[in-house]
Amino acid sequence: MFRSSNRVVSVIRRAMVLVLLAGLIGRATAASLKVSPARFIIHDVVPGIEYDVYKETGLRITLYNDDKAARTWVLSVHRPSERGQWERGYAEIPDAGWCWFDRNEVSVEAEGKAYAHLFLKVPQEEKYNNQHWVVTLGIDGKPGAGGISLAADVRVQIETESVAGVEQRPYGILGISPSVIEFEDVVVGAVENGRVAIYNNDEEPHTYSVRPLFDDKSVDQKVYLTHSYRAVPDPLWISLPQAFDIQPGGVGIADLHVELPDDSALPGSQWESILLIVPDEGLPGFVRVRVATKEPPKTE
Amino acid sequence: MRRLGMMLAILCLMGVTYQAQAADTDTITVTVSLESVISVTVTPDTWAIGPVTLGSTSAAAPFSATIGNTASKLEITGTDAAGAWVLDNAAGADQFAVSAVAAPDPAINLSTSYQVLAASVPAYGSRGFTLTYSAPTSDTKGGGVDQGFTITLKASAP
Repeated sequence: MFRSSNRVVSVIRRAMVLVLLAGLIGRATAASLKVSPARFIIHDVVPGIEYDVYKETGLRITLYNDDKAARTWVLSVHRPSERGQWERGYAEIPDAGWCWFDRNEVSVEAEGKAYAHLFLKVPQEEKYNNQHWVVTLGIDGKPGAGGISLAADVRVQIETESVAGVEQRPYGILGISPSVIEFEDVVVGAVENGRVAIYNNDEEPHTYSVRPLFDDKSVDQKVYLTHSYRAVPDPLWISLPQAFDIQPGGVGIADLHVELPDDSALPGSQWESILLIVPDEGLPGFVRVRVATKEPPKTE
Repeated sequence: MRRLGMMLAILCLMGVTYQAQAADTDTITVTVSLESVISVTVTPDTWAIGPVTLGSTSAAAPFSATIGNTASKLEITGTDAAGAWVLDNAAGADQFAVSAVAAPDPAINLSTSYQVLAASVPAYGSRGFTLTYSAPTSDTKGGGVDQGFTITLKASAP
């Protein structure tokens, strides 16, 4: 807390002298905040199931205190439009209340660390399958602590279960089904086919194009790639459809073809591409395309 | 009896199989980068503004923010004062202002919403910034009223 008043000049002058003295003897203190992880992706979230993320995956939020004094941090969950930002191709979570911590605040002893567990439950409705959302986890210095307060945002990308052939239209202005297409045991020279349904849930007709996100070299691939997958090295591996129109309330089908060239991936490799579905107006969505090459024959 | 026992065994096996499939279907997985830590240290952690008369501006106070192993965006916000002075874009009657400069990013006047102080500070990097306080041009709240306020510096992945 900072104080200012023109009525206590003499007191403040004395305080200034003290401040200057403190500066001269090098007593300026620092405050720090360290949180891990900074961001992560939760895959395959099934609507209707309550998840304790730590129990399911071993991942929890760790707060480190490198300072000489104990610190208390307030935890909160937000839609990115309220706090934070979201990645291209993702939408913001419809309701931040679908994620919560096991506590509202965490006290961390001097030079210690503490943990917070994240929980998640998406309502059990078919329309919530095939979704890509972002939610912001807020960590804030407790109000009233004084001085310069610190805060951090942890970005969580939530991906609900990929389901093909849904009966209910997916949630959002732009719906996609399935949200993940997997090509297993792909061999060089063979053509594999897949398709994704694109739902125009807007009240206006739109033209959609499909393009690999990683064509944009400014994109940090680590933010999108699934653990143990590498980015498809050549966009020509996946043939994409031409731009197509979908009327309001309509559905379009995008056919994809995967063919590995002769000098392509090593056997037993896992590759991934993020194909952006880009409307002529509005925010894009994406489909995750995974290509696993066939394992080499085992030698005796 | 023996046949019934076999049927029960088969039913039990079916149950086990179903549970295993259900557990597999409902399991979430997580992707997280090993180096994924967000960290910020600010020095100093207090701001002694010193004597400022109504309508005047303090000297620019220097601060430094140091980032951990993840490149980060820094945002900053302030609060209204405890004694009902309002944080605003410019000083006025019962309104104070705080400007922040983290060159080469543009200077900003703090508000009660987060604004970008530094768009991207590289991993293990530091960014110096200054804060300047402009006192209200007039005061109706009275002397001796606590007009303290809080500034929050936030780090996030850019």
